[in-house]
Amino acid sequence: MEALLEVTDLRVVSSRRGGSQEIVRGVSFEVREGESVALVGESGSGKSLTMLAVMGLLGPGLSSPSGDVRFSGHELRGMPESRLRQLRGAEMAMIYQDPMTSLNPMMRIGDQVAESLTAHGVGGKEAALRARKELARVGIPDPDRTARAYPHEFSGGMRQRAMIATALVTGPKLLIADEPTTALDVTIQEQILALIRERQRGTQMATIWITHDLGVVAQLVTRVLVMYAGRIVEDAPVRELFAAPQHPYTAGLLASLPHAGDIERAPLAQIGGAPPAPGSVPQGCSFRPRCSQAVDKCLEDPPLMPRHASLSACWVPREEWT
Amino acid sequence: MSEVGFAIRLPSVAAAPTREPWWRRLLASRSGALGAALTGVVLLAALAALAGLVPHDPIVQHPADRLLNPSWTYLLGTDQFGRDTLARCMAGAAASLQVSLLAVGLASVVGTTIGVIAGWYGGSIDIVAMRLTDIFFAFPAILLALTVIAALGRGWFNVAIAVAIVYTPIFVRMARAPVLSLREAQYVLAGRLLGFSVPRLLLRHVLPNISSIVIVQITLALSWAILTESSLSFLGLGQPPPAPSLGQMVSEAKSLAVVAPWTLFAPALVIVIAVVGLNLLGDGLRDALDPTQER
Repeated sequence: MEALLEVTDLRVVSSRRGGSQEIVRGVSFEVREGESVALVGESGSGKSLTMLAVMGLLGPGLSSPSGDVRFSGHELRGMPESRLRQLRGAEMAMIYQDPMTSLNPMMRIGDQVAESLTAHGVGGKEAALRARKELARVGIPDPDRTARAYPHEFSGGMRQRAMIATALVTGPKLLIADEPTTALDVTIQEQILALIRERQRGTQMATIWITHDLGVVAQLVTRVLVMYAGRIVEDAPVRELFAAPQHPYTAGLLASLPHAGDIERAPLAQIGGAPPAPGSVPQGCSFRPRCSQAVDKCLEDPPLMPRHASLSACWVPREEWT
Repeated sequence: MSEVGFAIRLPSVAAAPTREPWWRRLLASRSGALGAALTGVVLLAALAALAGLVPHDPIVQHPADRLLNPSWTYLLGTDQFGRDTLARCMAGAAASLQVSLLAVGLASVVGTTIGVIAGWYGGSIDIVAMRLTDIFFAFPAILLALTVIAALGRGWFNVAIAVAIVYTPIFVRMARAPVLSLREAQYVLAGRLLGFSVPRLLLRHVLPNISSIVIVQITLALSWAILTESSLSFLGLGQPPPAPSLGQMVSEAKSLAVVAPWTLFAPALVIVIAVVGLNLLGDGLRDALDPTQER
């Protein structure tokens, strides 16, 4: 199948307070139509910035000096802002963490969902109708009445549903979900995840899940991209990732997950040390100082290398781990 | 093992919470209700004057009826030319409101626009706008208005322009501050992610969220504008006589205060009622429009 999104050697640089630091350091990956991919990594590993750079919406003080982004046959880099705006919302949409503040408090829910359409040239009446249908589809009861409500009249879970509706009403080809459930309690989380999965079925919509929750990953996606210090260190099908992680960082992440079956209350495994601060990334493999498998070769920068069904940026194959 | 069933139901949307409309909340507060009443009285009097519903013509002189005490014929007495004080107060209020409304209308539209743009784009636009407002703030309001009138000449329209120039910087400052935080708001970022254009974001998402601050500011600015306008006409820079104006009436009555105190008190009282009323109304509106304020 053809790649819907193709990112090549994407870099993001922060230039605040005089110095400039590379936060995303050459990220390449692709997402096919209808595919579900997770981008996992610790806070500050550059997950969200990577996706904001893909959408062309880096905040002040951030820039992307290099990298190609091809989306659905268009080269997004160098595309005029007005053309980009037509793609955003209509073809690629993004939802994110905080449902409490992501809706305009002064605007009725129905109007906000409809605005995704009117901003892309759909007439007001049709937009209002489609908005109400979309609200019903994301599980908001009695949409004719609730469309007239303001965000403060909604609970957190309902707001997250409404926000998802603003993103899905246009029928985008790509949905980027940036930790869409972190702010919600567990039962609501499950409902929201099920909702997006449901919507993905039957359409050719691809989704990219930005998360640090490997539990979410396991049940949602077919492929996982693991990010560490601004780079992708492993790109693996989800089964392979859990069965046989090919990068020591991934292995460490998985070892630190609690298992429901553990009877003894042994302390959770952890990865010693802390991720490098941007600007002080060590030479060679950035995980080297924390890695139990490090060898002399690791002073050289490892590229993503094929290992079984996965790609891993580690010089030492899993079979040679101690 | 017994089976445990969880019924997961969608949280139902609470029947639209009983948040009263803003005007109810305004009238429920003591200062809001009093402010609305006082402002309403002045406004009605001014409208009546504009409609010609005055007991006597405010300009026509009655040489036989000079400096009369308040009576049934002249409810607030007459001045040194035998003109009806009540009629002149009403017409003066109308003139004062006309100037103030035009001035504050201009100041709020121009000032809010500049403030929103400065706050949104930041950078050199913001720096220039802020330094300019600093310069304007450095001058006392009256002095600045006097300078503008000296440059433009007299007449009610020029007075309005002068007052507008004096109060525009306040609207710039007031609109800029919340936009600085609003441009980083999650729902504005969400709008960008949905492909909204900058004019759409500003008009539909930023402006409505600063509207309550602007409305309160307009009420307060109206009261200051009435004071400034009255001061200018007190100094003889308002409407040329014989057109009635509150400040000018106070000015002329200074020397008559002993023989005919009503000629001084009546116009002064109208100014006080208008200014106090608008201030109370502004305070009441601030509470009534603040969504975080629950009484």
